[in-house]
Amino acid sequence: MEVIDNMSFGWLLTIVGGTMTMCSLGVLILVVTILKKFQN
Amino acid sequence: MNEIMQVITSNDFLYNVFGGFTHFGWQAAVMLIIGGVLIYLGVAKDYEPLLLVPIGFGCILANLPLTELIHVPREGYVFNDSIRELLAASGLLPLAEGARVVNEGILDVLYNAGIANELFPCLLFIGIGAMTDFGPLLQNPRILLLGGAGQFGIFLTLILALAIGYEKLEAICIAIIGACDGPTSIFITSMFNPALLGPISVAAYSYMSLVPIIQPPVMKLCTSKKEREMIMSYEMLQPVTQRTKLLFPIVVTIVTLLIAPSGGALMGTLMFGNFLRECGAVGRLVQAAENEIASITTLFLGLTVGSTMNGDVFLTAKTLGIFALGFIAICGDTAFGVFGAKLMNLFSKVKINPLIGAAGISAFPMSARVVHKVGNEANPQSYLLMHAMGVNTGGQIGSVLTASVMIAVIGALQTMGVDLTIN
Repeated sequence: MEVIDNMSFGWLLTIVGGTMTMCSLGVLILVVTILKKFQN
Repeated sequence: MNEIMQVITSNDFLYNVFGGFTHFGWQAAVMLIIGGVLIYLGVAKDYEPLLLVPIGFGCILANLPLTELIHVPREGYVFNDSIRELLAASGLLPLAEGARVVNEGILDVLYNAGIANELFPCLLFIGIGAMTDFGPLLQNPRILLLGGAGQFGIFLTLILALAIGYEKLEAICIAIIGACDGPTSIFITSMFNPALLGPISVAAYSYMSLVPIIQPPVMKLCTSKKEREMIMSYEMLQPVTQRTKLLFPIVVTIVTLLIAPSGGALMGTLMFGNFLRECGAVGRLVQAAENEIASITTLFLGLTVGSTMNGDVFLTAKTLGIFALGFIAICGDTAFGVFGAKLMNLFSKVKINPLIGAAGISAFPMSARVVHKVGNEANPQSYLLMHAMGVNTGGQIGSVLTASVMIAVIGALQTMGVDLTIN
Protein backbone atom coordinates (compact mmCIF):
# COMPACT_ATOMS: atom_id res chain seq x y z
CA MET A 1 0.00 0.00 0.00
CA GLU A 2 1.38 3.39 -1.01
CA VAL A 3 1.94 5.98 1.72
CA ILE A 4 1.55 9.70 1.23
CA ASP A 5 2.47 12.09 4.02
CA ASN A 6 -0.18 14.37 5.48
CA MET A 7 1.03 17.68 4.07
CA SER A 8 1.55 16.30 0.56
CA PHE A 9 -1.98 14.93 0.76
CA GLY A 10 -3.26 18.38 1.81
CA TRP A 11 -1.48 20.23 -0.99
CA LEU A 12 -2.52 17.61 -3.55
CA LEU A 13 -6.15 17.95 -2.55
CA THR A 14 -5.93 21.74 -2.48
CA ILE A 15 -4.31 22.07 -5.90
CA VAL A 16 -6.35 19.39 -7.69
CA GLY A 17 -9.59 20.12 -5.81
CA GLY A 18 -9.30 23.89 -6.17
CA THR A 19 -8.44 23.71 -9.85
CA MET A 20 -11.21 21.23 -10.64
CA THR A 21 -13.79 23.28 -8.73
CA MET A 22 -12.89 26.53 -10.49
CA CYS A 23 -12.68 24.84 -13.92
CA SER A 24 -16.09 23.22 -13.39
CA LEU A 25 -17.57 26.59 -12.48
CA GLY A 26 -15.92 28.10 -15.56
CA VAL A 27 -17.53 25.43 -17.76
CA LEU A 28 -20.88 26.10 -16.09
CA ILE A 29 -20.60 29.83 -16.78
CA LEU A 30 -19.83 29.08 -20.40
CA VAL A 31 -22.77 26.72 -20.74
CA VAL A 32 -25.17 29.13 -19.02
CA THR A 33 -24.00 31.97 -21.26
CA ILE A 34 -24.66 29.81 -24.33
CA LEU A 35 -28.06 28.82 -22.91
CA LYS A 36 -28.96 32.46 -22.43
CA LYS A 37 -28.02 33.27 -26.02
CA PHE A 38 -30.67 30.81 -27.20
CA GLN A 39 -33.28 31.62 -24.61
CA ASN A 40 -35.37 33.77 -26.87
CA MET B 1 -39.15 -13.19 53.18
CA ASN B 2 -35.53 -13.49 54.28
CA GLU B 3 -34.52 -14.48 50.79
CA ILE B 4 -36.25 -11.45 49.33
CA MET B 5 -34.53 -9.13 51.82
CA GLN B 6 -31.19 -10.70 51.00
CA VAL B 7 -31.66 -10.04 47.30
CA ILE B 8 -32.94 -6.50 47.81
CA THR B 9 -30.08 -5.50 50.07
CA SER B 10 -27.31 -7.09 48.03
CA ASN B 11 -24.91 -4.63 46.41
CA ASP B 12 -25.16 -6.25 42.97
CA PHE B 13 -28.93 -5.94 42.97
CA LEU B 14 -28.92 -2.31 44.06
CA TYR B 15 -26.10 -1.49 41.61
CA ASN B 16 -28.11 -2.80 38.69
CA VAL B 17 -31.60 -1.71 39.71
CA PHE B 18 -30.38 1.84 40.18
CA GLY B 19 -28.09 1.53 37.17
CA GLY B 20 -29.05 4.97 35.90
CA PHE B 21 -27.40 6.53 38.94
CA THR B 22 -24.58 4.06 39.49
CA HIS B 23 -23.39 4.31 35.89
CA PHE B 24 -23.72 8.08 35.76
CA GLY B 25 -20.26 9.63 35.38
CA TRP B 26 -18.81 13.12 34.99
CA GLN B 27 -18.71 12.77 31.20
CA ALA B 28 -22.45 12.09 31.10
CA ALA B 29 -23.06 15.09 33.36
CA VAL B 30 -21.03 17.42 31.11
CA MET B 31 -22.80 16.08 28.01
CA LEU B 32 -26.23 16.67 29.57
CA ILE B 33 -25.18 20.27 30.20
CA ILE B 34 -23.99 20.60 26.59
CA GLY B 35 -27.29 19.13 25.36
CA GLY B 36 -29.13 21.63 27.57
CA VAL B 37 -27.07 24.53 26.19
CA LEU B 38 -27.85 23.49 22.60
CA ILE B 39 -31.56 23.34 23.39
CA TYR B 40 -31.31 26.75 25.11
CA LEU B 41 -29.54 28.27 22.10
CA GLY B 42 -32.21 26.89 19.79
CA VAL B 43 -35.25 27.75 21.88
CA ALA B 44 -34.29 30.98 23.64
CA LYS B 45 -31.78 32.49 21.22
CA ASP B 46 -33.32 31.21 17.97
CA TYR B 47 -29.95 29.87 16.69
CA GLU B 48 -30.94 27.24 14.06
CA PRO B 49 -33.68 25.87 16.37
CA LEU B 50 -34.86 23.27 13.85
CA LEU B 51 -31.50 21.52 14.15
CA LEU B 52 -30.13 22.47 17.55
CA VAL B 53 -33.23 21.41 19.48
CA PRO B 54 -33.29 17.79 18.18
CA ILE B 55 -29.47 17.64 18.36
CA GLY B 56 -29.54 18.81 21.99
CA PHE B 57 -32.26 16.33 22.92
CA GLY B 58 -30.50 13.51 21.10
CA CYS B 59 -27.34 14.36 23.04
CA ILE B 60 -29.22 14.08 26.34
CA LEU B 61 -30.83 10.77 25.32
CA ALA B 62 -27.55 9.21 24.25
CA ASN B 63 -25.66 10.20 27.38
CA LEU B 64 -28.11 8.92 29.97
CA PRO B 65 -26.56 5.62 31.02
CA LEU B 66 -27.97 2.21 30.06
CA THR B 67 -30.64 3.59 27.73
CA GLU B 68 -29.12 1.47 24.93
CA LEU B 69 -30.73 3.73 22.33
CA ILE B 70 -27.67 3.99 20.14
CA HIS B 71 -24.41 2.06 19.79
CA VAL B 72 -23.19 3.07 16.35
CA PRO B 73 -21.01 4.63 15.00
CA ARG B 74 -18.65 3.30 17.69
CA GLU B 75 -16.89 0.05 16.90
CA GLY B 76 -17.35 -3.22 18.71
CA TYR B 77 -21.09 -3.82 18.62
CA VAL B 78 -22.95 -6.61 16.88
CA PHE B 79 -26.71 -6.45 16.74
CA ASN B 80 -28.70 -9.24 18.24
CA ASP B 81 -31.64 -9.42 15.86
CA SER B 82 -31.58 -13.18 15.48
CA ILE B 83 -28.04 -13.16 14.21
CA ARG B 84 -26.50 -14.86 17.22
CA GLU B 85 -27.58 -18.26 15.87
CA LEU B 86 -26.37 -17.32 12.43
CA LEU B 87 -23.01 -16.25 13.82
CA ALA B 88 -22.74 -19.48 15.77
CA ALA B 89 -23.64 -21.56 12.72
CA SER B 90 -21.02 -19.72 10.70
CA GLY B 91 -18.41 -20.39 13.35
CA LEU B 92 -17.99 -16.68 14.10
CA LEU B 93 -18.70 -17.03 17.82
CA PRO B 94 -17.13 -16.16 20.17
CA LEU B 95 -16.77 -12.62 18.89
CA ALA B 96 -13.53 -10.70 18.77
CA GLU B 97 -12.30 -9.43 22.11
CA GLY B 98 -14.13 -6.28 23.19
CA ALA B 99 -17.13 -6.82 20.91
CA ARG B 100 -20.52 -7.41 22.45
CA VAL B 101 -23.92 -8.46 21.15
CA VAL B 102 -26.62 -5.87 21.81
CA ASN B 103 -30.20 -5.21 20.79
CA GLU B 104 -30.54 -2.56 18.12
CA GLY B 105 -31.74 0.71 19.68
CA ILE B 106 -34.25 2.97 17.94
CA LEU B 107 -31.54 5.51 17.22
CA ASP B 108 -29.35 2.75 15.78
CA VAL B 109 -32.20 2.10 13.34
CA LEU B 110 -32.37 5.78 12.35
CA TYR B 111 -28.58 6.02 12.11
CA ASN B 112 -28.33 3.00 9.84
CA ALA B 113 -31.34 4.10 7.80
CA GLY B 114 -30.24 7.62 7.05
CA ILE B 115 -26.81 8.64 8.30
CA ALA B 116 -24.58 5.63 7.65
CA ASN B 117 -25.73 5.53 4.03
CA GLU B 118 -25.89 9.38 3.72
CA LEU B 119 -29.60 9.31 2.81
CA PHE B 120 -30.82 12.05 5.17
CA PRO B 121 -28.50 14.81 3.88
CA CYS B 122 -29.56 13.94 0.33
CA LEU B 123 -33.27 14.14 1.19
CA LEU B 124 -32.58 17.55 2.71
CA PHE B 125 -30.83 18.58 -0.48
CA ILE B 126 -33.99 17.88 -2.50
CA GLY B 127 -35.80 20.31 -0.19
CA ILE B 128 -33.00 22.89 -0.43
CA GLY B 129 -33.05 22.64 -4.23
CA ALA B 130 -36.82 23.08 -4.24
CA MET B 131 -36.50 26.22 -2.11
CA THR B 132 -33.69 27.85 -4.10
CA ASP B 133 -34.25 30.35 -6.88
CA PHE B 134 -31.16 30.43 -9.10
CA GLY B 135 -32.63 33.37 -11.06
CA PRO B 136 -30.29 36.07 -9.62
CA LEU B 137 -27.29 33.84 -10.39
CA LEU B 138 -28.43 33.21 -13.95
CA GLN B 139 -28.89 36.94 -14.51
CA ASN B 140 -25.15 37.43 -14.00
CA PRO B 141 -23.52 33.97 -14.33
CA ARG B 142 -19.90 35.14 -13.98
CA ILE B 143 -20.48 35.66 -10.24
CA LEU B 144 -20.58 31.86 -10.03
CA LEU B 145 -16.78 32.16 -9.77
CA LEU B 146 -17.24 33.89 -6.40
CA GLY B 147 -19.13 30.82 -5.20
CA GLY B 148 -15.93 28.92 -5.95
CA ALA B 149 -13.58 31.50 -4.43
CA GLY B 150 -15.59 31.32 -1.21
CA GLN B 151 -14.70 27.63 -0.90
CA PHE B 152 -10.96 28.21 -0.55
CA GLY B 153 -11.41 28.57 3.21
CA ILE B 154 -12.06 24.81 3.09
CA PHE B 155 -8.63 24.16 1.60
CA LEU B 156 -6.93 26.60 3.98
CA THR B 157 -8.48 24.76 6.93
CA LEU B 158 -7.51 21.40 5.46
CA ILE B 159 -3.86 22.46 5.34
CA LEU B 160 -4.03 23.91 8.87
CA ALA B 161 -5.70 20.79 10.29
CA LEU B 162 -3.07 18.53 8.71
CA ALA B 163 -0.27 20.82 9.90
CA ILE B 164 -1.37 20.59 13.53
CA GLY B 165 -1.58 16.82 13.40
CA TYR B 166 -5.08 15.71 12.45
CA GLU B 167 -5.28 12.57 10.34
CA LYS B 168 -6.08 12.94 6.63
CA LEU B 169 -9.74 11.89 6.72
CA GLU B 170 -10.33 13.82 9.96
CA ALA B 171 -8.88 16.97 8.38
CA ILE B 172 -11.24 16.68 5.40
CA CYS B 173 -14.28 16.40 7.65
CA ILE B 174 -13.15 19.44 9.67
CA ALA B 175 -12.33 21.50 6.60
CA ILE B 176 -15.76 20.90 5.07
CA ILE B 177 -17.30 22.94 7.93
CA GLY B 178 -16.08 25.83 5.77
CA ALA B 179 -18.72 24.92 3.20
CA CYS B 180 -21.06 26.50 5.76
CA ASP B 181 -23.51 23.82 4.76
CA GLY B 182 -24.87 21.41 7.37
CA PRO B 183 -26.02 18.59 5.07
CA THR B 184 -22.73 18.63 3.12
CA SER B 185 -20.72 18.49 6.36
CA ILE B 186 -22.82 15.56 7.61
CA PHE B 187 -22.57 13.80 4.25
CA ILE B 188 -18.78 14.04 4.12
CA THR B 189 -18.29 13.17 7.79
CA SER B 190 -20.55 10.13 7.69
CA MET B 191 -18.66 9.00 4.61
CA PHE B 192 -15.11 9.49 5.90
CA ASN B 193 -15.16 9.60 9.70
CA PRO B 194 -18.54 8.98 11.37
CA ALA B 195 -17.02 9.17 14.85
CA LEU B 196 -16.71 12.96 14.41
CA LEU B 197 -20.35 13.47 13.33
CA GLY B 198 -21.38 15.05 16.63
CA PRO B 199 -18.75 17.79 16.98
CA ILE B 200 -18.65 18.56 13.26
CA SER B 201 -22.38 18.92 12.77
CA VAL B 202 -22.74 21.02 15.93
CA ALA B 203 -19.85 23.24 14.81
CA ALA B 204 -21.29 23.54 11.28
CA TYR B 205 -24.80 24.48 12.40
CA SER B 206 -23.57 26.77 15.18
CA TYR B 207 -21.33 28.74 12.85
CA MET B 208 -24.05 28.87 10.19
CA SER B 209 -26.31 30.57 12.71
CA LEU B 210 -23.46 32.91 13.72
CA VAL B 211 -22.81 34.12 10.15
CA PRO B 212 -24.29 37.59 10.94
CA ILE B 213 -21.77 37.95 13.77
CA ILE B 214 -18.70 36.29 12.19
CA GLN B 215 -18.78 37.73 8.66
CA PRO B 216 -19.07 41.55 9.07
CA PRO B 217 -15.74 42.09 10.91
CA VAL B 218 -13.89 39.93 8.36
CA MET B 219 -15.56 41.79 5.48
CA LYS B 220 -14.59 45.14 6.95
CA LEU B 221 -11.04 43.97 7.57
CA CYS B 222 -10.63 42.90 3.93
CA THR B 223 -12.11 46.01 2.27
CA SER B 224 -11.54 49.77 2.34
CA LYS B 225 -14.40 52.16 3.11
CA LYS B 226 -14.39 53.29 -0.53
CA GLU B 227 -14.80 49.71 -1.75
CA ARG B 228 -17.69 49.07 0.65
CA GLU B 229 -19.47 52.25 -0.49
CA MET B 230 -19.46 51.21 -4.15
CA ILE B 231 -22.90 51.08 -5.77
CA MET B 232 -23.59 48.17 -8.11
CA SER B 233 -25.78 48.78 -11.10
CA TYR B 234 -28.74 46.50 -11.72
CA GLU B 235 -28.20 46.87 -15.46
CA MET B 236 -25.63 44.09 -15.36
CA LEU B 237 -28.43 41.67 -14.42
CA GLN B 238 -29.87 40.41 -17.71
CA PRO B 239 -33.33 38.87 -17.49
CA VAL B 240 -33.65 35.11 -17.91
CA THR B 241 -36.56 33.14 -19.25
CA GLN B 242 -38.29 30.28 -17.47
CA ARG B 243 -36.85 27.91 -20.08
CA THR B 244 -33.30 28.85 -19.03
CA LYS B 245 -34.19 28.35 -15.37
CA LEU B 246 -35.68 24.98 -16.26
CA LEU B 247 -32.64 23.85 -18.24
CA PHE B 248 -30.13 25.08 -15.64
CA PRO B 249 -30.48 22.18 -13.14
CA ILE B 250 -30.23 19.63 -15.94
CA VAL B 251 -27.14 21.30 -17.40
CA VAL B 252 -25.48 21.62 -13.96
CA THR B 253 -26.20 17.97 -13.18
CA ILE B 254 -24.73 16.72 -16.45
CA VAL B 255 -21.65 19.00 -16.44
CA THR B 256 -20.70 18.56 -12.78
CA LEU B 257 -21.33 14.83 -12.68
CA LEU B 258 -19.26 14.30 -15.80
CA ILE B 259 -16.43 16.07 -13.95
CA ALA B 260 -16.99 14.52 -10.50
CA PRO B 261 -19.33 11.51 -10.77
CA SER B 262 -18.88 10.56 -7.13
CA GLY B 263 -20.69 13.73 -6.10
CA GLY B 264 -23.84 12.41 -7.76
CA ALA B 265 -25.77 12.02 -4.54
CA LEU B 266 -25.18 15.63 -3.47
CA MET B 267 -25.43 17.51 -6.74
CA GLY B 268 -28.06 15.15 -8.18
CA THR B 269 -30.49 15.64 -5.32
CA LEU B 270 -29.91 19.41 -5.08
CA MET B 271 -30.56 19.89 -8.78
CA PHE B 272 -33.45 17.41 -8.82
CA GLY B 273 -35.17 19.51 -6.14
CA ASN B 274 -34.55 22.65 -8.19
CA PHE B 275 -35.86 21.01 -11.37
CA LEU B 276 -39.08 20.07 -9.55
CA ARG B 277 -39.46 23.73 -8.61
CA GLU B 278 -38.75 25.15 -12.05
CA CYS B 279 -40.69 22.67 -14.18
CA GLY B 280 -43.92 23.97 -12.67
CA ALA B 281 -45.78 20.69 -13.21
CA VAL B 282 -45.37 19.03 -9.84
CA GLY B 283 -46.50 21.57 -7.26
CA ARG B 284 -47.44 18.86 -4.76
CA LEU B 285 -43.97 17.30 -4.92
CA VAL B 286 -42.34 20.71 -4.46
CA GLN B 287 -44.55 21.36 -1.43
CA ALA B 288 -43.68 17.94 -0.01
CA ALA B 289 -39.94 18.42 -0.62
CA GLU B 290 -39.96 21.89 0.95
CA ASN B 291 -42.14 21.04 3.92
CA GLU B 292 -42.97 17.47 4.91
CA ILE B 293 -39.85 15.68 3.64
CA ALA B 294 -37.50 18.45 4.79
CA SER B 295 -39.16 18.63 8.22
CA ILE B 296 -39.20 14.88 8.86
CA THR B 297 -35.63 14.50 7.65
CA THR B 298 -34.45 17.44 9.75
CA LEU B 299 -36.09 15.92 12.81
CA PHE B 300 -34.54 12.48 12.34
CA LEU B 301 -31.20 13.88 11.24
CA GLY B 302 -30.92 16.21 14.23
CA LEU B 303 -31.96 13.60 16.76
CA THR B 304 -29.62 10.97 15.36
CA VAL B 305 -26.65 13.30 14.96
CA GLY B 306 -27.20 14.56 18.52
CA SER B 307 -27.21 11.01 19.78
CA THR B 308 -23.75 10.40 18.31
CA MET B 309 -22.39 13.02 20.73
CA ASN B 310 -21.18 10.50 23.23
CA GLY B 311 -19.07 11.88 26.08
CA ASP B 312 -16.04 9.71 25.44
CA VAL B 313 -15.86 10.92 21.81
CA PHE B 314 -17.03 14.50 22.28
CA LEU B 315 -15.11 15.55 25.39
CA THR B 316 -11.66 15.55 23.88
CA ALA B 317 -9.13 18.15 22.79
CA LYS B 318 -10.03 17.13 19.23
CA THR B 319 -13.48 18.67 19.63
CA LEU B 320 -12.00 21.99 20.75
CA GLY B 321 -9.70 21.88 17.73
CA ILE B 322 -12.67 21.18 15.45
CA PHE B 323 -14.52 24.25 16.74
CA ALA B 324 -11.42 26.46 16.40
CA LEU B 325 -10.67 25.24 12.87
CA GLY B 326 -14.33 25.51 11.85
CA PHE B 327 -14.25 29.16 12.88
CA ILE B 328 -11.09 29.72 10.82
CA ALA B 329 -12.76 27.97 7.87
CA ILE B 330 -15.72 30.35 7.82
CA CYS B 331 -13.54 33.45 8.29
CA GLY B 332 -11.28 32.12 5.51
CA ASP B 333 -14.25 31.57 3.17
CA THR B 334 -15.40 35.14 3.73
CA ALA B 335 -11.92 36.60 3.13
CA PHE B 336 -11.27 34.46 0.02
CA GLY B 337 -14.67 35.46 -1.38
CA VAL B 338 -13.92 39.17 -0.92
CA PHE B 339 -10.43 38.85 -2.43
CA GLY B 340 -11.89 36.77 -5.26
CA ALA B 341 -14.22 39.69 -6.07
CA LYS B 342 -11.27 42.10 -6.00
CA LEU B 343 -9.39 39.80 -8.36
CA MET B 344 -12.37 39.72 -10.73
CA ASN B 345 -12.39 43.52 -10.74
CA LEU B 346 -8.80 43.52 -12.04
CA PHE B 347 -9.87 41.68 -15.18
CA SER B 348 -13.34 43.08 -15.70
CA LYS B 349 -14.67 46.32 -17.20
CA VAL B 350 -17.84 46.25 -15.12
CA LYS B 351 -16.70 46.53 -11.50
CA ILE B 352 -18.44 44.79 -8.62
CA ASN B 353 -18.56 45.67 -4.93
CA PRO B 354 -16.05 43.26 -3.31
CA LEU B 355 -18.42 42.75 -0.38
CA ILE B 356 -20.65 40.48 -2.47
CA GLY B 357 -17.80 37.95 -2.65
CA ALA B 358 -18.38 37.25 1.05
CA ALA B 359 -21.76 35.73 0.15
CA GLY B 360 -20.02 32.91 -1.76
CA ILE B 361 -20.84 30.41 0.98
CA SER B 362 -23.74 28.08 1.38
CA ALA B 363 -25.53 29.83 4.27
CA PHE B 364 -28.52 30.94 2.21
CA PRO B 365 -30.01 33.56 2.35
CA MET B 366 -28.42 34.73 5.59
CA SER B 367 -25.04 35.55 4.09
CA ALA B 368 -26.61 37.60 1.27
CA ARG B 369 -28.56 39.62 3.81
CA VAL B 370 -25.43 40.25 5.86
CA VAL B 371 -23.58 41.50 2.77
CA HIS B 372 -26.47 43.79 1.89
CA LYS B 373 -26.56 45.17 5.43
CA VAL B 374 -22.82 45.90 5.57
CA GLY B 375 -22.95 47.59 2.13
CA ASN B 376 -26.00 49.58 3.13
CA GLU B 377 -24.34 50.75 6.36
CA ALA B 378 -21.35 52.00 4.35
CA ASN B 379 -23.55 53.74 1.78
CA PRO B 380 -27.32 54.05 2.31
CA GLN B 381 -27.74 54.41 -1.49
CA SER B 382 -26.21 50.98 -2.05
CA TYR B 383 -28.58 48.05 -2.58
CA LEU B 384 -26.59 44.82 -2.94
CA LEU B 385 -29.24 42.25 -2.02
CA MET B 386 -30.00 40.76 -5.45
CA HIS B 387 -26.31 40.64 -6.44
CA ALA B 388 -25.45 38.98 -3.13
CA MET B 389 -28.33 36.49 -3.53
CA GLY B 390 -26.84 35.43 -6.85
CA VAL B 391 -23.42 34.90 -5.28
CA ASN B 392 -25.01 33.09 -2.34
CA THR B 393 -26.76 30.56 -4.60
CA GLY B 394 -23.44 30.24 -6.45
CA GLY B 395 -21.91 29.42 -3.06
CA GLN B 396 -24.40 26.57 -2.68
CA ILE B 397 -23.33 25.11 -6.00
CA GLY B 398 -19.67 25.83 -5.19
CA SER B 399 -19.76 24.06 -1.84
CA VAL B 400 -21.45 20.96 -3.23
CA LEU B 401 -19.05 20.96 -6.16
CA THR B 402 -16.00 21.26 -3.88
CA ALA B 403 -17.28 18.39 -1.73
CA SER B 404 -17.90 16.30 -4.87
CA VAL B 405 -14.41 17.01 -6.19
CA MET B 406 -12.88 16.09 -2.83
CA ILE B 407 -14.79 12.78 -2.82
CA ALA B 408 -13.55 12.14 -6.37
CA VAL B 409 -9.91 12.85 -5.49
CA ILE B 410 -10.02 10.73 -2.33
CA GLY B 411 -11.76 7.93 -4.24
CA ALA B 412 -8.99 8.07 -6.85
CA LEU B 413 -6.30 7.90 -4.15
CA GLN B 414 -8.03 4.95 -2.49
CA THR B 415 -8.31 3.14 -5.81
CA MET B 416 -4.59 3.69 -6.33
CA GLY B 417 -4.00 1.99 -2.99
CA VAL B 418 -2.88 5.08 -1.07
CA ASP B 419 -3.18 4.54 2.67
CA LEU B 420 -5.66 7.08 4.13
CA THR B 421 -6.71 5.11 7.19
CA ILE B 422 -7.00 6.74 10.58
CA ASN B 423 -4.61 5.31 13.16
